[in-house]
Amino acid sequence: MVLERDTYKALEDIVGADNISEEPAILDAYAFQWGAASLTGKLFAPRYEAIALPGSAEEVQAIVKACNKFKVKFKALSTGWGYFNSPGSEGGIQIDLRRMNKILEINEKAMYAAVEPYVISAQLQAELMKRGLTCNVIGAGANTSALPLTALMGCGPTSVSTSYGNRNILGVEWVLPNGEILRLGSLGSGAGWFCGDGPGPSLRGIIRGYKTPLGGLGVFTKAATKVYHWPGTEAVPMEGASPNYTAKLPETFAAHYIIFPSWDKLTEAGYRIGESEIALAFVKLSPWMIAQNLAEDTRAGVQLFSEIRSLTLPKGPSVLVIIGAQSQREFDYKEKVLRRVTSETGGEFLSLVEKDLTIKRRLIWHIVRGTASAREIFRPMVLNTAAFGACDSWEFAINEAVEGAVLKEKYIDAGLVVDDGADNGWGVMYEHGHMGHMDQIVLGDPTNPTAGKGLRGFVDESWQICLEKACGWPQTVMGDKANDLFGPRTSNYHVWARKIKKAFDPNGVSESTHYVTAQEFPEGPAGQGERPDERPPGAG
Amino acid sequence: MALAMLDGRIDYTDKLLEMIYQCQICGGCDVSCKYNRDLELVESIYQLRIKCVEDGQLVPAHMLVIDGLKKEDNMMCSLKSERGKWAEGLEVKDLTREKAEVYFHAGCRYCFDKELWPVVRGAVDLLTGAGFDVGIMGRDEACCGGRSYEIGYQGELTKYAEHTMEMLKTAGAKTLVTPCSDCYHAFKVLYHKIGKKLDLDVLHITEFIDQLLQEGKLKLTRRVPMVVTYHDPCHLGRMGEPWIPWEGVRTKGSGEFILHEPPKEFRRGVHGVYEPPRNILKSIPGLTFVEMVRIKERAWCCGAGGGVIDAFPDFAIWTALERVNEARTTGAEAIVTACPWCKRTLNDAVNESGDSLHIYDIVEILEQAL
Repeated sequence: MVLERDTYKALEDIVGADNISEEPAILDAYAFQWGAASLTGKLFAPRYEAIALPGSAEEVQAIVKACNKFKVKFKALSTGWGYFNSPGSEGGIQIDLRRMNKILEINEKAMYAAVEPYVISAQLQAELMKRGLTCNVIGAGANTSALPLTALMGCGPTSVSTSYGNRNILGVEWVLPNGEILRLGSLGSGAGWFCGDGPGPSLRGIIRGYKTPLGGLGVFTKAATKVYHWPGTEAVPMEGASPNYTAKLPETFAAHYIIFPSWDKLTEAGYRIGESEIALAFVKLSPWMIAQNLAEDTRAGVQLFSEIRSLTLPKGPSVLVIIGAQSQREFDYKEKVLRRVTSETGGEFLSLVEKDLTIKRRLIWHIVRGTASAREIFRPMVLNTAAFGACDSWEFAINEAVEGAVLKEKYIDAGLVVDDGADNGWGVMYEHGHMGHMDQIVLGDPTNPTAGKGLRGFVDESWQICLEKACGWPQTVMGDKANDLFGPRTSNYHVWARKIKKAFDPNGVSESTHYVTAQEFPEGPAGQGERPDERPPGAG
Repeated sequence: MALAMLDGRIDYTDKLLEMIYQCQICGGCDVSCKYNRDLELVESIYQLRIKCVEDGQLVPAHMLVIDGLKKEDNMMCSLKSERGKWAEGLEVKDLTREKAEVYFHAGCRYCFDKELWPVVRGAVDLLTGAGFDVGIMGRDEACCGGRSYEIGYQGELTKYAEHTMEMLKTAGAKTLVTPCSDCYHAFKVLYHKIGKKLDLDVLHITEFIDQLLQEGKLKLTRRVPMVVTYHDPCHLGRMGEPWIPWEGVRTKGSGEFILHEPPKEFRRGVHGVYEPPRNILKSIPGLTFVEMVRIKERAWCCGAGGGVIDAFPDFAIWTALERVNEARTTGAEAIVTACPWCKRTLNDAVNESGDSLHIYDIVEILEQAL
C-alpha cells in the first residue's frame, strides 16, 4: 500500500523531507516486532505506509489534522517497545516521536519532572539522581519512555517506593484524535505541571486506567511524572568490565534475596515490609530471573538457575528486597526490620547473595536502573509473553503467581515453553502499600512455531483462569475481542470505552486495534463474534 | 532490514544502500548489546555488506575506492608509485632489500595524506632514536585490506593478508608496529578471524611507546603545559580487542534458547588498547589529562569508519562534531587521538566549524615532550 501523493506531500510539508519516509526498508524496520510471532507466527507485523518524525506538539497536531482531512489512520510510538505499536492491518502512518526527546523541567521542590515522549527513563533518572531524586523505571527497561502514559501498565521494580504509571501522572499535553490540543490537570489552567487533576480539566480516567490506550486515542506529547527521593549519591561510579559492571554504591545499600516457606508467608512478609516502608525495591524475582541477572551469558545463566533452583525449590517462593538509606542509622533500622520480618515469617536469605558484596551491588544497580529484564527475559533470545498481571491486592497478585505456575507446568511438560521452573512470576508492590502486580513470564523461541502456539495457548488458558477463578483483568487484554470478553465481567467498561473512542475520534483515524475500536459487535454473545483477535505479548 | 532482505520482503534501493553504508561499523552497538545479550551485531553488519557486494550493490563512492585499491593497492585513490614518498630522507631500513627487527607499517592514510606526514615521520624517528632496528616497505607497502572488508569485499582482505604474510617472510621482522588503528585492527583482529594470523607481534605505536616508557628506554623531559583529552579510536579500542576463535555449534538449551557448544567467549570490547595511550599522556610533564564522558568501550566514533568518510563525508563530519562538542565540555584545549582517520575527520570538523580545539596525534604530543 502507498499513501496518496497529496497526503504524503501534506505530511512532508509539515515535518520536512528528511523526517518522513515510505522507503520499504524503513517501513519493515518498524514492522519488525519480536512480539508478533506468538500472535501471527511471523516476526513482522503489518506495515505502515509511511513513517513521520515530528519535532514538536505543533507538528504532531498538524499531522493529526492532515490525517483527519485525508482520512488516513495514524498511531504514535515513543520508544516502540511492543507489538501494540503496530497497526492491525497494513496502512496508515506511524508517528515516531523520537525527535521529541527533551527533559522540559525538573522541579525539585514540587518533586516532578516534565518530559517529552522520547526521553528514556535512564536519561531522566541520571539527571534526577544529580538532584537527590529518582523516578519509576518500568519493568520493560531503562531504555523505554519516561512518559508515564506510554507503557502498558507502567510498573517497575522500584514501584514499592516509586509507584507506577497511573498514579504518577501529573500535567499532560494531549493531541486529541481530531487534532485539538488539550492540556490536563494544572497545566490546563496555566498553573504548571504539578497536579494531574486540576485546577483545570481532569481526564485521567480516560487517558489511562491501569493500562494506557496503547496509541488508540490520539498522541500524548508532554507529561509530568512524580519523582521520588533517591538515597544514593549524585553519580554512581562503575567498576569492573562488561558484562560484570558493578556500581560503587554507598555502604548504606543492600540487596537480599529471601526464600519463604510458603506463598502465605511471602504474602504476609510483603504486607509487613510494605507497612514498614523500608524497601527501595521489592520484587518477586524467580530463581530463573536472579540466575540470568547474575550470569554473564545464557549458558552460565542456565547453570546458575539449576544451582539456585536446587536451593530454593525444596523451600518456596522468593523475593528480592533492596534497601537504601542516607545514614548508617537509617540503614541499620531498615535492616533490623527486614531481618525481623524475615525471621518471623520463616524466610531465609540466599547465601549466594548475602556473602558477596559485588553480587549485591550488581543486583541493586540492575534493579534500580531497570536493566534487569533485558537479562531475565530477552537475553536468551526467546519469545516471551507476560500473562495474568492484574492490578489488585498483594495477596491477589500472589494468587496469580500460584495459578500461573500451575498452568505453566502443563506447558513445560508438553515441551511447548522453556522450563523456567514454572514459577516465573514477576511481581511488585506499590507505594509501600497493599496493592500489587504479578505477571507470569513465559518463554519460547520466536522461530519455533510450536513455541508460538505454546505461548498463545498459555495466554488463552490464563484468560479462562482469570474468568473462572476471578484472577482479575489480565494485562494481555487488548483489542475488541478481549475487551468484549472481559468487559461484561468488569462493570461493562468496554461499552464506555467505545463511547469514549467514538466521542474523541469521530473520524476513526486514531488506529486502535490493540485498544478498542468504535465498532459494535452485536452478532453474538460477548467474546463469540467475529472480532479482531489481539493478544500481543510483552513485559512491562 | 537484513531479516527483511533474507525473507525477500524488500529489494535493493538507493536508500537501502545508503542506510547500510552510513554505518561506521564502530562497534558501539555491539558492545552495548553484549552487556546483556549473546549476540554478534557487528558480524551481522559485515555479512550484510558482503551480501551487497556479492549482489553487485555498492554506493558509487565505494566503487571508486575499491577500483583504486585493486589497481594501486591503497584506499586513497592514489598512485602506488607515490606510496613511499612520506619517508623520503628518513634514516630507516628498506625491508624490500634489508632485514629489520621491527616492521613499521604506515597505512594508506598516512602514506597519502601529506598533512599527516609529520606524524608518521615523527613516529619512525622516535623508534629509530630509541635505538630500534626499524624497517619500512616504502612504495611496496600495500593496504592491510581492513577497510575493504568493512565495505564488504572479504576477498580483498584475504588477498592482502596473504600478501602481508608473504612480504614478512623475507623481512625478518619480529614485531609489526603501526600508527594506524584501522591497520592495527586488520592485522590483529581480522587476519586472525579469517585464519591468517600473523606470525609476529602486532603492536600499535601507543603500545610500543608505552613499553619503552615503562622500561625506561624513553625519557620525557620537556614540559607540555596543555590540557588535553583523549579520543579512543574505535579500531584500537573496542574493535581492537584480540580475536577469540570459537568453533562449535549452536544448540538449543531447554528446547528453546540458543547455547554455544563448546561455550563461547564473547568479545565485549573491554580488552581493547585503552591504557597505553593514557599512560603515555599521563607521563608527559606539565600535561593535564582529562577524560570525556564516553570513553574506552563506550567511546563515540569519529565518523570516518566503515567507508563513511569516502561515501558520506558530511555525515562523517557531523559525527566528528558531536565528539568535538563533547571534548569541549571537559575544558580541554586539544583532543589527542591515535589514528590518522580520526585525526583527519576531527581536524576537518574543527576547521569547518571554526572551533578553537586543536587535534593532535599522540606522536605529535610526545615529540613535544622529548
